[in-house]
Amino acid sequence: MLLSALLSVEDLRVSFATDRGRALAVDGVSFSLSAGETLGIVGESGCGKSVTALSIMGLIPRPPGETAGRVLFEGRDLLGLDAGALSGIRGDRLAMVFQEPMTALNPAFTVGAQLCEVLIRHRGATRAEARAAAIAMLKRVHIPAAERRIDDYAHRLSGGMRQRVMIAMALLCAPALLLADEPTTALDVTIQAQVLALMRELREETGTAIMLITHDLGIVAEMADRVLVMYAGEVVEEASVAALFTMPQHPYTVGLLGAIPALGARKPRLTAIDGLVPSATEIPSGCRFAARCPFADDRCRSEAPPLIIVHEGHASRCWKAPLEQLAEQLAA
Amino acid sequence: MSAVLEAVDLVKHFPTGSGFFERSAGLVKAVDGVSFAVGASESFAIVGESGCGKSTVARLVLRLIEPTSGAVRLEGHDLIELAPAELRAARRRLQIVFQDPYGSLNPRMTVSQMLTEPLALHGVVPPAQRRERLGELLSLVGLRPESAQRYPHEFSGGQRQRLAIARALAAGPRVIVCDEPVSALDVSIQAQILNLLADLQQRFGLSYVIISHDLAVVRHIATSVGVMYLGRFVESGPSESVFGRPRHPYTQALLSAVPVATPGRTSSRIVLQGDVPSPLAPPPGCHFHPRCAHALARCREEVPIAEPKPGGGTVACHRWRDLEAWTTDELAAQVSSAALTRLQAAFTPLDRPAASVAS
Repeated sequence: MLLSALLSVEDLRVSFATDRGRALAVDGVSFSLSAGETLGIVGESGCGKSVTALSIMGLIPRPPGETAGRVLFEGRDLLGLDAGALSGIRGDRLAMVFQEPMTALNPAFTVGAQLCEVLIRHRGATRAEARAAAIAMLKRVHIPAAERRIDDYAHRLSGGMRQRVMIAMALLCAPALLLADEPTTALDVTIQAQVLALMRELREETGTAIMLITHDLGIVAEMADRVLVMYAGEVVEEASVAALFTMPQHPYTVGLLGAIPALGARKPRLTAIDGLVPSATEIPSGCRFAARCPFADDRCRSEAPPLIIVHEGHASRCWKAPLEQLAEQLAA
Repeated sequence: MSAVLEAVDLVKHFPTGSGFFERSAGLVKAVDGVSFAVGASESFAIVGESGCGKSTVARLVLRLIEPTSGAVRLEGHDLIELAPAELRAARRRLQIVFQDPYGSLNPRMTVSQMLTEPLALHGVVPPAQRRERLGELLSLVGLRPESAQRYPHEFSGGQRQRLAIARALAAGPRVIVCDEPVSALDVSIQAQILNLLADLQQRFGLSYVIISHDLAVVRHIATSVGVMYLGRFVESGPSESVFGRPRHPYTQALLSAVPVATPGRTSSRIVLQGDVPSPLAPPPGCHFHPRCAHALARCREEVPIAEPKPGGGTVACHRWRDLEAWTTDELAAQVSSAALTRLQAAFTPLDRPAASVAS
């Protein structure tokens, strides 16, 4: 484990009690994030990426949720903290931006009241100080006429503006780590470009580390330094962005990369990964991807593969890795 | 090209603020003169951001709402002129697949009921052969025949979208309008549905009208494209031309805004300022001028008309001749090693129809 790690998640397990038994949403996830780094987490719905973020924030309702493992943030295990200690960190050192700004912002308060609350709560600012700082932050996220907009309610703002307000709120206390869960998924593409440019700009100014959760591999390629690929509650691959896109080491990532339509050259046919993600209540005993994997053999179906280092800084949870060899066998 | 479906100068104005005393406070020009044509085995896509009017065009084409003016010709007959009974008959040839496979299927109907209803309604298949046709439809979209007795809630999102496609296919259409057909689906499932749509098109010579906000999806599936902004096409034409050599500043900005799965891409991005203006009060002249880096005084006053551009299609911009043609060639230079391509090929063997799906 790196000494400089800002966040280090160790063997995180999150399960939920359901009518059909315990659903294992996150199963033994470990990773670390250094100061100033951007880590992308990709995967499809239900793979556990949002639950991972929510458990770091201490936002998993218990019951029905149950969390195990360790989440070390600036030397403290967040999972062991009581509600009071946790809310002292949240919004201050650790902040989160959600996918739906309309549901994340309180409709009954003005934008300004919600922004000021953060500074009054964490910095002991007076109302006037907080308001001045809030206006300055709204200007930094390029909200036009910030002095007027601060007294608006969320429903008066466009989707892109609401997401800027969310980002402004998250960055008010200059957090060491920002968790962004699909921050641009609800936005149009030109507005998404604005918000991504803003996140890059603020990252350079403040050195905030970002954990960016997205299903969009294009956004990951653009924003992240390192990537975790999740599937059915597990990390199946971890690599630098360049390595992941050039030569992925897990068949799921191979399939995903082939499944995205390209804007440039038109692909004759997309790679379709047949079948569905296994349900969190009925996890297969072997490799969780085996049923959808064209390379799976008997061992894959019976024995769960460990996450192994394939190349330096590149790990994969696949018995067939390194996949270069597999590709050569296919050619032969 | 003889067009199977043709939309001619479609206009739809919605009155707003119909209070008790004020009859109509204003007009939203949701669709303001849109024309296009689709031939057999072709796909025309309408792409644009939320509120540009693309879904309204889809509804106008099907005459689910009445246009203010304009014509929709299906195999030469104007749908707008048809009496209700004739329109119902014509809809056999013109079907729709909606975005939300959770909202567009009746939860109280079994698959068998929902797929045989169009057969009975249009009288296309005699009762004795309906069971056989049902099995055929299910296998066409890659679902098992056993699915027939199940209800929509027993299926995943991707499978429901397959059911919606099967229902659209049931009556033997020439044209299917697909309104955001894959937006609600995960990437891997999205690829399954896009491949299925391509297979069905090839097999039956179907024409598609695709409504989408996703430029990469449109690039993949469409033979021609219309880029819509506040009710009008700013640029339209063959896919190769619109995507390869976009001439309108909005098309260029839209294409440059899409994140591309190529790390370290160096291309210059055109970041537009501000939001799409409200359709209630669109800017005068060219609707795009407040966000356009190239706008002149003329753009603020005069509505640009669509002019033919090199490579086919039209562009509606006063300045397109002065602006450099923007190329997307660099986007085409996606990293794909031989090893990766070989691995990806293993996912869809050519001897197996891509429509097959487990469970």
